Formats: sequence, C-alpha cells, structure tokens
Amino acid sequence: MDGISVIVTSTLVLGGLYMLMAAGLTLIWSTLRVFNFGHGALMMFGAYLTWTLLDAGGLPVAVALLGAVAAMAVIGVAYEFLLVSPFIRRPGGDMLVMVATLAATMLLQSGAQLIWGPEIKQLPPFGGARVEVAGAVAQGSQLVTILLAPLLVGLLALVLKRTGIGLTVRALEQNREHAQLLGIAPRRVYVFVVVVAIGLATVAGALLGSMQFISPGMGGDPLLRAFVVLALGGAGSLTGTIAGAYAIGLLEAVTTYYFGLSWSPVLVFLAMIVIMLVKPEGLLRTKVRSA
Amino acid sequence: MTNLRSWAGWPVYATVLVALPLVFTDPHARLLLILFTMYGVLAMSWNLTLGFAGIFNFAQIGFFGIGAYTTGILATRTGIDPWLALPISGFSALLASLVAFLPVLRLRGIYVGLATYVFSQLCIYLVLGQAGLTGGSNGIVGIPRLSLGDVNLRADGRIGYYFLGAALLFAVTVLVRVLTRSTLGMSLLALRDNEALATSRGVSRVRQHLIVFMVGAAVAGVAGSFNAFLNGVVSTDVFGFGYLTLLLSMIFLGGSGSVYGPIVGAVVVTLVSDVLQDAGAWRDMVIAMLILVVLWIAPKGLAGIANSVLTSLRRPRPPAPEPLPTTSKETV
Amino acid sequence: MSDLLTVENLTAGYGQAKVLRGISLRVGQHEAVGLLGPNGHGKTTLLRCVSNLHRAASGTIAFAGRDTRGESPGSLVRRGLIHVPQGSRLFPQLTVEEALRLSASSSGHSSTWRDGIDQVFSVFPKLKERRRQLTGTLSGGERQMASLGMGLMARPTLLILDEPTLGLSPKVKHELSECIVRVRAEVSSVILIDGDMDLVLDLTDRYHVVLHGDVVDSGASDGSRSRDEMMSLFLGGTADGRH
Repeated sequence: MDGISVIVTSTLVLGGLYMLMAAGLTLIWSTLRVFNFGHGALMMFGAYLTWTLLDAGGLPVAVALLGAVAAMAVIGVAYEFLLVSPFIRRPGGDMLVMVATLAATMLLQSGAQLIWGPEIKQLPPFGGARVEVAGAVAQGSQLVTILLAPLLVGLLALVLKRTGIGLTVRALEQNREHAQLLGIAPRRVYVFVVVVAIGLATVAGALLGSMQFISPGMGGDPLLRAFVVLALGGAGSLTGTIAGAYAIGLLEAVTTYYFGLSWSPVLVFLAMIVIMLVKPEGLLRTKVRSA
Repeated sequence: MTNLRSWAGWPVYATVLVALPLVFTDPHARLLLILFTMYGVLAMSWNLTLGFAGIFNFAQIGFFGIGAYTTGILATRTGIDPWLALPISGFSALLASLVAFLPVLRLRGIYVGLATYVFSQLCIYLVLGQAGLTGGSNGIVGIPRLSLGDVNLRADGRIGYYFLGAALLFAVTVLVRVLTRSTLGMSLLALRDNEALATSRGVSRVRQHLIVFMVGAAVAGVAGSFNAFLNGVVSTDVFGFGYLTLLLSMIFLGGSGSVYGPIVGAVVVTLVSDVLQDAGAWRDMVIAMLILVVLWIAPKGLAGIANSVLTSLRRPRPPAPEPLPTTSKETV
Repeated sequence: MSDLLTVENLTAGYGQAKVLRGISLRVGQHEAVGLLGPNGHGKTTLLRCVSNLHRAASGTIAFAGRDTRGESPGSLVRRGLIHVPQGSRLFPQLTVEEALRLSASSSGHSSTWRDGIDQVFSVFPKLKERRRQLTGTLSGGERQMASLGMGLMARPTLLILDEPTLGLSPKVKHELSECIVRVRAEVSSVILIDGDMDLVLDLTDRYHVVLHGDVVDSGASDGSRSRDEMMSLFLGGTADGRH
C-alpha cells in the first residue's frame, strides 16, 4: 500500500513535469519541424531567473515565476530570431538547427554559471497545502505540479482549439504553403509557439527547482525524458503528449521503486529505443501524418 | 595529372606530421600537438556519418567514451598487453554502434538525431549504474601508460604519444579520403542528396549507412582508448556535453562537407580552447558562440571559404550557366 | 497604367533548371485571363512567383501599381491578390467553417467573416452542408470548392485559380465549373489555369499560351482560334500547324 501510494504521487508529479516540457517540444516540432535541443537549458535559465526575482527582487514565489515567464518570453523571441529562423529554410536546415540549439544549451549553461556562480540554489515550496487521497500524499510544490501542469497544458490545448491564433498555428502545422497563401506569416506563428513553449518550460524549471535544486545542468534529464515522451506519444500530438507524459512518469516511478535510481533511466531509454523501432510514429498516436 | 597532384600531398603531409614535434619542443606545445591529432581523428571519424552520409549521428561521443572505458577496464582489471587495448576498444565501439544503429533502420533525419543523442546519454547512466566495473562517478584511475620496449610514450614531452596520434591521424586521413572517393562514398552522397533516386538505382541505404557507421565508431573507439592512455584516467566526462560541442565546433568550423576541413577545425578549436583554459565558463561560452557564428556566416566552414576563394582565383569570372535549348521538351 | 497586374521579363527556376525565360504578362481591371499550355512549362511557377512563394531570378512584377519585390505573401493577400493553389490537400484537421474563417481573419477581414461566409455558401451551397466536416474528409470536388471558398473569403481583387478542376470526374467538373462562373461574377480580375481548354476559353476574356517558360501565343478567348490550332501550339509548333 505504501509503495503504491509513493508510486502514484511520483507518477503524477513526474508526469506533470514531463508534460510541461514535452508539450512545448511537441508544439515547436509540429509547427517548425525542428527539435529544440536547448529546451532543457531554457528550463534551467527560467528556474534561475525565478530564483533571482525571488531572492534579489523579494517577490513572492508565484509572482517571481510570472516575472520569469515574461523575461523568458523576451529570450524566446531572441532564440527564434537567432537560432531557428536563420537556418530553418536552408537546405539541410534541420541539422543546422539541431547543432545551433545544442550550442545554445552550452551558451545558456555557461552563461548561468557566470551569472549565478557554481553554488546550487533552491526555490522555496510553492505553498504548504497538503492533500492525502487513499494514502497517497502530495504537498507544496508536488501538489502544485500535479494540478498546474495538466491545467496549463489543457489551457494550451483549448487555446489551440478555440482561438484565432490557435487556428493559425494548426493551419500552419497542417499545410504550410497554403497557410502562407491565406496570408499567414509563419514567422509570427513561430515566435508565438517558441514563446509559449519556453513559458511552459520555465514553469517546469521553477517547480523542479523547488522540489530539487537549481544547477546549470538541471535541464538535461527532463529534456531527455521529454524526448522519450515524444517518442511514445507521437511528436505532433498534444493528446499523445499528455498520455505519454503520464506513461513515462509511471514507468519511471515503478522502475525507480523496484530497480533503483540508476537503473530506471536505462529502462526508460530502452523503452524509447524499442518504441522507435516498432512504431516510429508513436505508440499512442492514432492518426498518422506523413512527416 | 590529377592523380599526381592528389598523391603528391601525402608525403608532404607525413613529413609535416613528423617535423612538427621537432619544431615545437616545449612540453605544452607538444601536448597541443597530441590533442590536434586526437581531435583530428575524432572529428574526421564523426564527419564520415554527420557530413558525408548526412546521418544525424549524435552517438559518436558515446563510441568515443565506450572506447575509453573499454581501455580503462581492460588496462586496470586484466593483465592484457596495453597495446592490445587499442584495437579491442575500437572493436567494442564497433559493437556498440550496432546497437546505436538500430534506430537508423526505421527512422530518418532528425529522429535519428534524437535517438542517437539519447544513446550517448544512456551510456552515462550505464556507466554510473555499473559502478563496480566502471568506478561509477569516480571514474577509473591509474591506467598504465603505454610503452614501446623500454621507452615510455610519456618520455620527452610525451613525444611517443604524439607519434602514435600522428600515425593514427595519418591512417584515418587516408582511410577517409579513400572511403569518400570509393563507390561507397559516392553512394553515400547519392543517398544523402536524393535517397529515393539512389535506392531506386539499387543502392542499399541500410547497408551503406551501417558500414560507414561502424567504421566511424571503430575509429572513435580507438581515439577513446588513446585518450584513456594519454590521461591515465577515464570519467563520464568522455560522454559529456563538453566533448560533444567541442567536436561539433571543429567539424562545422572546418567544414562538414570536406575531408580535411575537420582537421583544420580541430587545430583552430584546440588552440582557442587552450588559450581560454583558465577562463572557466567563458571558454564554453566562446566555443558555443564560435559554432553559432560559423553557422550564421559560413555554413560550409573554412573549407567552404577556401573553396570559393580558390575557385574565384582560378576562374576570375564564372561563365553563365548554359541556357537549355528552347526546343527541348520538359517532362513532368 | 490601369493594369492590375504586370509581369515583365520574368525568369525563374529551381536550382540549375530554368523554368521561366523572360515571360511578360498583364491583367487589367475587371478582366479574366486564361493561361494555357502543357504541364511542366512554367504556368504554376509563374503563379508562385506572382504570389511571392517562389523568388524570381530577374524581371519585375507589379500588383495594383506597386512593385511586389520583397513583399511577403501575406502582405499581397491583404492587398487583394489571392492565389488558390493547385491540388491543395487543404488543412485536413480543420473543419470547413474553420478554414473559411481562417482565410477571412488572415487576410484582415475577421470582423466581417460572417458576411463573407454567407456569400461563399450562396456560391457553394454544398459547403454549407459540409461546414462542420473536417476538410480532410471532403471529396475531391468539395475540397476544390472549399479551396475556392477560402479564396473568396479573402475578398480578392485578383483571384488566381491554378487547375481548379484537376483530377475531377466529368460530372463533378461540370458542377464545379458552374461554381467558377459564379465566382467570376464576384471578383474583379481572375487568372485561370486549367487543363480543360474549353472551360478556360469560356470563362476568360483573353488567353495566353505558355510554352517553355514563355508566352508563345495570345489572343481573345472568343473562339477565333480553333481547338486544333491550339493543340498544335501545345505540341511546340506554330498556330498554322507547321512544326
């Protein structure tokens, strides 16, 4: 009983974190057709910014997070202008974007080290509420993660479904050339998408930074898990991403519980490789679209 | 004529490699020379898949690390002749490349990048998980040095390591050159530029890509072994982001489409990195900026710049492309 | 200079392959111009250059008196140049109504989209029945109607139709050509490409025959040239039937 409740809580927490990361990656992938290898570093940077606003600015943690999201939006615009759009239309552009976003990771990591120093930081918990359901306990930042992540990603799905900008994003995903002929400017949509994705990553970073620590390399693991989520859920579908995030969260919680922390990632990644081999378009994806 | 010109370069190349340590005798300069050779070997081997075959192979750093760990384990836990560790490490990296190649069977393009990148990261977790064998996060220390007869390769400013590295670099240069000019090389270019056409002409993508993947991996494994002997220690750093970005900057600065570009890139980036070695995080910052600047202004790297300079020197004015005869029928 | 569209000495291609070789063309106000000629001779490339989807190597294009060089496709759309592309698979996961509404908002007519959609439904009654259906599930003819309807939603002054009846059965084609007649009545100027020569000649005021990336014959679409003369032009000969 105790084991199961631990597994349930960590599935929901991990699933929430991975969902926040993977939803942004999915959005970027389906509109821009690139994988953002800098997403983990952006998450880390967002966590540090939150910490600064909280520590130096003296703001409450939720306000600090909002401020960090706004600041990261500016960085997101620069990111799109400098790292994605110069390469995306070139022949072989997807490899250039991959290399550029890897370089961006290094840039952000060393930048964080220069700005914030080698000392590890931590954010305070997001509130002190505690909820217990059938033996499974979640409190503070865990509870916020469990609730906020599906809320934000659900909100994103709603925006995509119901609003004008959402319609534009979906149109560009589905038929780029015809979308342009309707007068849609791809660049504006790209900037929107990148900014939203980075905003979600910032939230993930702040949540992780309050449950664990903030360090320049903190984004690496969540980024890799988010990639696994994409492989499982299909890289272009938000519903697949949500389901995939909880599935990977569950897999990781179970394997960590039974096999320990060092074997869990190995099993998770082996699962990814197997999925990519047997069903490259994603296990949870029903509608297959040619890439 | 072209043959003569192309083969005359090799003795010159060999002579330069032999002469370099005689000119630069200072121990630090010698160390840099060794690093040139090691990074040159690695960058060239990676460029086989990344540049020539156009495979999004980001597992190369994993092969390098696997080679290093193979040597570390063999040299500290078995009584094996250290020299044998070099080829065995190449072989173990080759075996690993068979696993890393699995995703390439069914995936294309950026998806391969994703899977192979994850493979490299997976290596770190495996090493940490097998702490009994690999030393976990402490790494492996006390790897015995290589010696030839009674001469330790460390003697005289590590000159032995330099000549070993230079020999490897020379061999790999010849290998890459021969490979790229062979029918294998041609078919790789064909697959990269027009896969549908190439496969319709009977080129097997999987077979050709597997060959070049294995060759590249074996070379990286030997380089990893060399690195282990040179440093005497192995840690999970060999799989790390530092090596990955360093090598990417070498390849893209030198020119990912060129045979020799990555060697030039290795030399330049090694020097830059050496100048900045006390600058801490600034060093990484500069390397990352270097990659980005090259991608922005010269996506074909130094080799591309050199090529266009050479062409413009040879032909002051390129002739206008010949217009097609107007009577020709265009087909759809 | 009352021409709506002027194309002068346009050359363009893909890599080494030249497709357009100094082509010139004009479309006046309230005029429908047809482009005829075999496939692969540059008609679609010409249109892609006109709507700035493809960059011309040289030559000039002016729309409504302004040079379009460097202008984004979106800006041209907002100025009233609307290109309905050939064989578009549309937006498979959007409903007909979403797609129509999108076209209104992306061309700067979001506030009047309801009027626009009423107009489109009067031209294409069938689309009204299908308004909640995903465009990916439409039949070929319905997809073309949706595509044309999206064009109308953008309030075109110049509507470019590239092969609207391509791949349709004779019956559906007939139905669609009746719709195109109604579309023609709604917009000022039209450029029409279609494999169906009679349809083009029926619907347009003037025609050009494009061969090897240049105009080889022009005239009024009044039937002064016989069908046989046209066909022999297509085969690379002259209007007299000599080769």
